Amino acid sequence: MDVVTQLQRQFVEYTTSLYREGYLDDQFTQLQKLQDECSPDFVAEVVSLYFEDSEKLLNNLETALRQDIVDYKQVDAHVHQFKGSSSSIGAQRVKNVCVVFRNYCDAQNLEGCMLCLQQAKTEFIVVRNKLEALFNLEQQITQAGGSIPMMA
Amino acid sequence: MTAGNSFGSGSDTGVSDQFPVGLRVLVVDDDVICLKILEQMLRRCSYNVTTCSQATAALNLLRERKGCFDVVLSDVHMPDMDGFKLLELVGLEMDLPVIMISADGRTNLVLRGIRHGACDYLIKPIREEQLKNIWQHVIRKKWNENKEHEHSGSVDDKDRQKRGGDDTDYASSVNEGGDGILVSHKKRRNVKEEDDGELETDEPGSSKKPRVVWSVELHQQFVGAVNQLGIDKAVPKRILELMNVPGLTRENVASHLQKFRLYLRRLSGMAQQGGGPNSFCGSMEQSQQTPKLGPYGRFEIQALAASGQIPPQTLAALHAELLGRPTANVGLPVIDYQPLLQPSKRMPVDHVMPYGQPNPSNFTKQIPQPIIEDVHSGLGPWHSNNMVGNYGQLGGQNGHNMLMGMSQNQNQSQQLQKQSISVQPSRLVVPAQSAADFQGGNNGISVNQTNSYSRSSVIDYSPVLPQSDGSSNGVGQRSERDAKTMGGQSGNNVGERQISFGESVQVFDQRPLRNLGFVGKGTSIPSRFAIYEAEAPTSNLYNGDNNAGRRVKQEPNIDFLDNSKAGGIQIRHRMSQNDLMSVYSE
Repeated sequence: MDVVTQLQRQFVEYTTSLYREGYLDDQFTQLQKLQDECSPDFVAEVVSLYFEDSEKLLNNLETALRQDIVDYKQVDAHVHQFKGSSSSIGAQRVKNVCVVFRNYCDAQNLEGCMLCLQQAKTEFIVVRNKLEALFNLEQQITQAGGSIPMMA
Repeated sequence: MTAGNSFGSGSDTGVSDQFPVGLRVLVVDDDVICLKILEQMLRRCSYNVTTCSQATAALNLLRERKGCFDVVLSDVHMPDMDGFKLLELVGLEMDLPVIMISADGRTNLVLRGIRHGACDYLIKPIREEQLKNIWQHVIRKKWNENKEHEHSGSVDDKDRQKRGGDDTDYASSVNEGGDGILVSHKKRRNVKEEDDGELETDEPGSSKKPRVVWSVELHQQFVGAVNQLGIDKAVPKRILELMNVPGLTRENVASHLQKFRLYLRRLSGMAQQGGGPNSFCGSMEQSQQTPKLGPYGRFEIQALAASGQIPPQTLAALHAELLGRPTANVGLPVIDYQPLLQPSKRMPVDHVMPYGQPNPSNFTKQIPQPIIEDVHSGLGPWHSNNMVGNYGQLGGQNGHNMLMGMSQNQNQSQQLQKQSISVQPSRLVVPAQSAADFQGGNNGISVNQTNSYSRSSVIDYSPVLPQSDGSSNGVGQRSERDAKTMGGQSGNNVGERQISFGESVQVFDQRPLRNLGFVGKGTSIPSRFAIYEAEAPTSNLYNGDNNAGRRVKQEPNIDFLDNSKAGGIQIRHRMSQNDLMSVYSE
């Protein structure tokens, strides 16, 4: 099996596992479908944006929750945003944490919020690593002269 | 791409083939990731996409480039402006379909979106398929607008030939189309369009309804024309003729008139909701200085301010109220309305209403003049005009504003009135003093009254009011009737006018009219009232119904009103003094 085919197989397997384990959902597939000749790096661009934005959001969340008097409205606003962007790119697990996070916000449960923040951070880091690995694979395939397999 | 051409993909007529290709979409979302994704999705739908990450920037963009967008997609949660507020503003100022998007799909939020007039509410993450269909909202909106025009007697592009019988069509459709208008109004927010754009119309041959941009000047002309014609005779054809604006079509005018009426109704509706009789009464009684502003209160204030008719203190008070109600105002720029308030021509009665307030000074001056004139004159008769016109205002908070202005005017005019036809100018105008009272009570009543009155021929009432004023009778009803009988000429006009308003008002909430009548009339003129009472045969006067019993009793205003409730007016205040009062009475 040549390198390209191998890489492509790896790519497919990896992607499948990501879906299976819930790191990614169908929305990510949608994103991939949006990529075309006019926007060849669409997915990479969007995902990069997401990484940047999310880091800021997580930092803001950290700051907000560490205030003496926590402004839950503000916290909720951040979480809402984080949830929105995560769901838009298909980062399912992150999104799920956000849902729980919001509930704790509504209840103004600081402990719950802190817990969720940690979870959100963890999930975010994991999915970021996985996506980066995926892009890496893609790059390798392209560099090896192959084409990226489209996931159905 | 012409401004009037929607979905302009550059060609005026070729769009229909490729539609919805080239649909011009504006996306507003503070989340740049979503924005980017939506942009890409919309591009793939072959739409013409513009993105904005800030609501305020988006609004500016929409204002600057009126007619350049077909639909707006907006996020709900944005840091600089609430998405629902943006939704309202866009609906009011540009009358574009707005689709809300949010990661939060809770029912209450979706409901809010609908209530604020959103065409649709999409929940993130959004799929491309969902965006493919957004063009339907644009089409639906246009078709609904066309239908409304037909209701009002206007024709769409296709049957422009059908211009004969405008008046009748229009008049009749106003009434019966009222329901239709209400229905479609509920479906979509149709508010008067205001902006500083130029008038642009599409070619007649276009299959799409041309989108006219109603500039302030243009609207002023429109209002002036409506004024001149009188609300009952203000049919698109005549308005168009009076306006004499090249390129403006009768359909444009009809459409605008429709929107105008809806706007008035909306004002009255919101006023009622916002203020309610209680608040109204309360505020009126207190000071007359601090009316509670309804959602559109700002407009009134502005209007008043613009017309320079508001006494400084009132204005200040109003402003204070206005400012104190951040969400009350739709956010329409003051500027837009001010010019409107100062028409060079007489202010049409109904026009006056929404905008504002009577001009105390004018009113005063004009009192001695025949009502007709007053009514027509922008300032003087404002009272009556306003009264009548202020559908929205009287209804509720808006009414407060009106009343305030009116009250003050009333006071001034009252004196004049006492001598002459007190109420004339304002058929509805009620003596200032009473106005307040009325206002409060009127809210409930006015509506009904107006309706009833408007329906019944004014003539009935005429006899009741021996004096030309008739209006001084206070009872709002009277004023209406008085209008007819009023002192005479003016009375008639007024009355007629009122009637017409009533009719037209029917489309909206009739209350405002009623209030108008009552305002000013209120208790302040007890004596007058008595006079009227005695003199007027009454019975018929008061209402088409059986007020006969009531007539002219002094007390009776209340009774009168009760009976008179043709429209089922509830008489809130039992004020014998004025019919007006009675009108309001429960």
